[in-house]
Amino acid sequence: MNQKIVECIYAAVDEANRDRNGRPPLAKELDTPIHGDADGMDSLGLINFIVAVEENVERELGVSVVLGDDRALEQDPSPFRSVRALAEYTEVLVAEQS
Amino acid sequence: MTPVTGFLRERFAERPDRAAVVAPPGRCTFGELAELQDRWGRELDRRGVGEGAVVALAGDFTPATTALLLALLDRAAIVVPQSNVSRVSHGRGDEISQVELRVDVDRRDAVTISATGRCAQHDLYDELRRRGSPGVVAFTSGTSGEPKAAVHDFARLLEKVHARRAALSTFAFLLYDHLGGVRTLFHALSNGVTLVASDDRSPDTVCALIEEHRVELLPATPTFFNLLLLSGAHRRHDLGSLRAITYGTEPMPQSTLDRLRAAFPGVRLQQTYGLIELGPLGSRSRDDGSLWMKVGGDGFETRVVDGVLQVRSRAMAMGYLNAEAPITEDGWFVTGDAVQQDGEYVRVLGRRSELINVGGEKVFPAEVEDVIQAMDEVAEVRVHGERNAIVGNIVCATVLPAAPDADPADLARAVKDFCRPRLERFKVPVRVRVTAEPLHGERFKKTR
Repeated sequence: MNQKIVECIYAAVDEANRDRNGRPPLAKELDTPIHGDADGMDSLGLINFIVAVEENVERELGVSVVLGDDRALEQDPSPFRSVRALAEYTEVLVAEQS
Repeated sequence: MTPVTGFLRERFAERPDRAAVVAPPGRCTFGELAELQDRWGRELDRRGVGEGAVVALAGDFTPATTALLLALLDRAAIVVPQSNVSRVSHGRGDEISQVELRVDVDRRDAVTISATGRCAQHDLYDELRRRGSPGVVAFTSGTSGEPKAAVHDFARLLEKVHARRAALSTFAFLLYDHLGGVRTLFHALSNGVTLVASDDRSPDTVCALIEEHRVELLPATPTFFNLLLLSGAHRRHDLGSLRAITYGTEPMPQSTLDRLRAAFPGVRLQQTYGLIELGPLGSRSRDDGSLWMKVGGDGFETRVVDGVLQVRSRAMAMGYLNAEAPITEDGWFVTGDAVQQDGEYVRVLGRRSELINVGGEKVFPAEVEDVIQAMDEVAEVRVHGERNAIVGNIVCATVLPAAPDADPADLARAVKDFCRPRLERFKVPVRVRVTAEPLHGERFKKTR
């Protein structure tokens, strides 16, 4: 697993924890659920999180990826079920761009 | 038939020695303007420019342009005013409005007249010719798609400036191809006050001209006032002559209005409202610090339908040359401006077409811009929507930092942090881009 991508996601988790509306902060762990779980993010939180990951990946890896499009939504299982799943999905997109 | 500008000529004769138009390096008195009008009238007659001729008049508020405009109106020509920074290129404007004759006036008032070889034919032009009325063609900004050319019966627009009113010497900030600008010109001519103009509309130049010519009224855009306050130009010049400031053409952020009020104590602040298709409507702000205003009266009826302002008036455009007019069956013009209503007062929220739909929740760019504009770190801001697969659209902001060396990532984070406690969650920008480019065009309006 690309550790740089995981760091990009963790930085977005830090960002998301600034806006949790009183809910417990998300842990920076591979198994942390992102969306679709009671402790995960709501839709607005998810959108902000996705955009933050996209921006971090672009800044750190110099690759522009779109994580919040129809393709991502059509994946089954969802790439947003955990940090690990999102990292793997992002890695695929980065590889396609490189 | 009495020329349509006959009433103006009577008024020019009352004060022939007073400055009418001051546009450095040019200037003229009312007496000289009358002479110029006659001289250019003879030239137009010699060239056979008569009723219904479609003439592009390109320039700024200078003595020759003003005289030519008056002479053309007297001959019932159909004028297509074009400024040097027109919203529509001169070539495209000529094509859409089928210009037959071009009159170009440069900053030194040198005039070039050239025939285009076209012969203009349109039902709206025929109607003007039938009425024997002069016309004016004005373009909508055309942010999306083809700019639309609205045709007005100029005689009806002139009716609005017949009555004598107390008037203030005015800086002609709005451009010559803008109906608000044309209205400013005729208001000044009709009431015998001086119009001061410049093709350089930077805050320092504008302030220097206000100081030098003791200008009393400054009508401009919220973007300009924001840049003025940021530049501090108002502190480097004596603007004690100013008695009123009017603002319009785009939504004013409350934060900018508050700062403007603090910077110009004792100066009346008044919001204006108008559209290319309607010309300027009468308006009255609830108070100097309020964005609520009464619009209409004086021949304009207003109503709000589904949150959108509609206006009916004898003076509204006859139609577009190249589009269907958004006029209801009972004759109301649908402005496209979404408004809030409080009794007789309305507050313009923005163009309905710019509304951002975030998962069913509605956001107007102006309300988000209003919040971000209040940040000291931000010089300019523009908010727009971007498509998003999850919620349909997301709110995005582009900011120009006040300090050129600001760290983009830090500023983007600061903008979001600033918005969170001040806006509902769906209105907080998801994406904040930091730019080094100004976010306004040469018309001092946000580029959208």
